[in-house]
Amino acid sequence: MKKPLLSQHPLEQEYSRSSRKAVLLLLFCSLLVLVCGLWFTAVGTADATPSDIFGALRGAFFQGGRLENANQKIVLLLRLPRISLAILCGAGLSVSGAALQGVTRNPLVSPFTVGISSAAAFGASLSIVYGVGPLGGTNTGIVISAFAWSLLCAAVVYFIASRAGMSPESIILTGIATNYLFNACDSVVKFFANDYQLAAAVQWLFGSLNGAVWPQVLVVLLFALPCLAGIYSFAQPLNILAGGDDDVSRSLGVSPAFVRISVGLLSVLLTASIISFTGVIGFVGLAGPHIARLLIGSDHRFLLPFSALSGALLVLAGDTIGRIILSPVNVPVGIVVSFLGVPIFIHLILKERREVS
Amino acid sequence: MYLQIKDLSFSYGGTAVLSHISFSAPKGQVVGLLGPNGAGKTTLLKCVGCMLPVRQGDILLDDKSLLSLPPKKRARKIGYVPQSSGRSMACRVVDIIMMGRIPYLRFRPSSQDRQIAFEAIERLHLEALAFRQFDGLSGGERQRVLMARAIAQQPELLLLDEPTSNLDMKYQLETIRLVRNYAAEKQVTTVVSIHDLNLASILCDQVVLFKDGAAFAQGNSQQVFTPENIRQVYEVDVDIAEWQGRKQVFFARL
Repeated sequence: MKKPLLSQHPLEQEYSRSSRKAVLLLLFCSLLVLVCGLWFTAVGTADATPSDIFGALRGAFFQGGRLENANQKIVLLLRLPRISLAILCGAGLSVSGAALQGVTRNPLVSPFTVGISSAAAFGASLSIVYGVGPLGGTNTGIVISAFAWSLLCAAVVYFIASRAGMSPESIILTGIATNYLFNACDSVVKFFANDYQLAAAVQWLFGSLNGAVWPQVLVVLLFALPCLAGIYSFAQPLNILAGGDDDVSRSLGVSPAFVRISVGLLSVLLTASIISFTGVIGFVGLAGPHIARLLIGSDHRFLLPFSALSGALLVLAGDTIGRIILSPVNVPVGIVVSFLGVPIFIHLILKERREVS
Repeated sequence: MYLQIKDLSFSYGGTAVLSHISFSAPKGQVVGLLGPNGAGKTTLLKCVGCMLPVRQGDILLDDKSLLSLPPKKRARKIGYVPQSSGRSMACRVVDIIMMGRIPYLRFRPSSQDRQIAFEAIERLHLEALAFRQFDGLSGGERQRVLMARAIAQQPELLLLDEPTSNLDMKYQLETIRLVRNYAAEKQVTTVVSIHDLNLASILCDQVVLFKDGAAFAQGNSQQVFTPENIRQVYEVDVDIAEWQGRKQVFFARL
């Protein structure tokens, strides 16, 4: 079967050129996110100068944690963990949205379509109101409870959907149903909560990066990195699944059920690990992938990294605006992201329409 | 015989869709599956490609059963061209064709994989469209892209689901020429489901006429295309004439 290679195919040149262009764009956007991250670090109630930021970074990495002034402490202990968590959170939720949209072939799906957010909210409320679960009522207890319940929700969706053959429709419909179920459970808990507990439970739902500290970032990173890498390794199967019917992917040797289960599991784990810490930051998982898709197309080898970047940028910008717009009050990032994302989203939809017609 | 379908039966949730289908074809032959809507043509095609779980009967390629092969190995032997993808995908045509190499690779296509994909592009004259987005193409162009993907799979068995249905006359004829040439040149056994009897008589070396999930008649088109067979299967009265050595079907009355 093996043939001697011809010198170079005429199409090869254009192929590698256009692939190179996408890689360059990817590098440029990563740089943009990094620059924005550093820039936003400087913004806030106490304005830090660039030299504070570099001083803090130098102090942390090269001088064994020795910091020169209060600004450097603010940067290293308050701002940078928050910025890092914003990037991780945006990237994670957006990639998980892109992946789930791919496996369900449905552009309306987000990580929360499968009911994880309401299950996490239920878990958080249980811990806040009744102190149920390990370390009940403490911040760590809330995180553990939210995480556990979102995984339980995913398990419920999985068992029901797999009985219906793991079709996209069965996943989405089961997800919507469990969403309502856990919403109802959450409402029951809240109904019996006192004012103070209710306020805390509702606050959790807003989704915020307040009080982000390095250990949180580390835990999220520990979950996010393997999940992101795992999802990316399914980029080609996702292309096949998103672009054709299940028979086509079977004929290419790719089992649709296997891809759906693996990618679904990784996305759920990724989302759960993030929202357990931050609360529900809703719109990123839907808008991030769409912004990326309109920029770069639906080839998942590029769509996934671009989704990560667009999501990261959206949450970064949302959180920074939330920090300064009503300063010293922090507006929760979940709220700002929607205000920020919806106009961008609608603009892109309209632009797309115009180009088509 | 290279391809052998042995006593294949299939049912969807208790209702039998195919019963006791058997046929065989040597290397490079084109087999046409004919019959009215719902007669089981597409189901048979999907069974032969092991896209549906076959529990009764067997499918042999070169005397080896396809059913026991692991999916990835099987994907190197069988190329499948679906009817026509209604799904729009903002993906470059060249990347879609490159997907045909997936059964052969881990993650990145090698230069040899690219070479094979580019050859498939040339064979289907898609050079001008190679870097366009798939969702901007017309139905006929999409059909050719999907065909190129199946060819990039370098299959030993090619399955085509109504490859001519959505095409105008020019592309119908071109598709038929292409399938014939490809099957003969690469000695690829090809199974095609097709509605148009006249096109089938040009394209196919052998036809299987389906009625209610069973083979009503099979053989070459000279033997199968008789007014009696067609009246029984399609419930239509036709006249059959011989035109340049091929059977052609005409409506007898309206």
